[in-house]
Amino acid sequence: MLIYPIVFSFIALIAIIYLYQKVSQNKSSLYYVLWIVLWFLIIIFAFVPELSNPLAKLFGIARGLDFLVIVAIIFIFYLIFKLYIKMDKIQQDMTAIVREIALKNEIKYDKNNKKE
Amino acid sequence: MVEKEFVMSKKDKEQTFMVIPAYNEENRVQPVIENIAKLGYKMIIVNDGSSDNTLKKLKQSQEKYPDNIFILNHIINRGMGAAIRTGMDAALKHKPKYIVNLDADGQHDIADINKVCEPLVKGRAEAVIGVRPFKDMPRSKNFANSIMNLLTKIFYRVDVSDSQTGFRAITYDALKKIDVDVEGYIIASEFLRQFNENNIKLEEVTITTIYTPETQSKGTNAKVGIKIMFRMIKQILFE
Repeated sequence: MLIYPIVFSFIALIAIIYLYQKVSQNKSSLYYVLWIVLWFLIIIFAFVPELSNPLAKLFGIARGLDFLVIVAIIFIFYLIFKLYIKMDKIQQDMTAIVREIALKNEIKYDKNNKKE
Repeated sequence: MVEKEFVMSKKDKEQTFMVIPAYNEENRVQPVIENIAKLGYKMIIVNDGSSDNTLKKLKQSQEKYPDNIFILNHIINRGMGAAIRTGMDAALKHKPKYIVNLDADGQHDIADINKVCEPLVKGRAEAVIGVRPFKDMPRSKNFANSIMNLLTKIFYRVDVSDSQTGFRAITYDALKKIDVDVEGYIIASEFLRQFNENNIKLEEVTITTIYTPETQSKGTNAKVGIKIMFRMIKQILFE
């Protein structure tokens, strides 16, 4: 038995337990369910990597594991892109808030508060 | 015939509002704003979340010129563009006839305010940019700004001799027409694009630029330039 299926499934198990807790906390959580499915797939592929061979053939890639790595990289790129978009949006929202606060709180010179 | 040099009248000055963004300028901002206040202009200074004592210095100056200096404070740093927009929004509330935008670091000569306002006062243009003579610039700045001009020309189809200038003047009506929605240094190019798209008549005047080691450390460098380029590409593609 190789070591990596054990390590992988261990990590996956932790992730699944964590995600399962999240799911039980709030009902509308399709997103978490998708992640759980993904981790289960990782466990399956870790123990039976041969399963990826037919998929790889389908896309014209010689080895099953290569296919998995490529899929993983594409997925990570997608996640980074999504995070970037989200961050951009948050930056814009933050600017809007900061600007609003600034415009509402003009600093006025007040003789009485001079010693503040 | 030699034309007499234009000077803003008292009435013109009263109808003008300066917008000055300031970020970490504790050592330079006071002479700039106090000299402007001495000339009788009103100004809105936006402290853009400075981590030094800029805000304190601004308050000190405000104590000396309470009628001329208005301070707005960004609680965290949001960039040059955001600060200018805040300042302009605040200026619009006072309904001035002309809005002048310049940098807080002392790189602009205050006497040039007359120059950039002249085309507005005389009705020749609705917006004016103060262009820096490129030959006076240190070589690295010259190169960076030339590239920025080229990018502005390619992406925004605006051909000006200094696209990244921080010195501009605009009439109230023209400012009402445009909507600049950016945060960083790209605001300089964005203004030009908006002027162009809204058919706002633009004029260039040559200004004096005072380059000191401090003023050189800020502004358009390679990193900022690349950021601006990506922003331009994104805008062209997605907006």
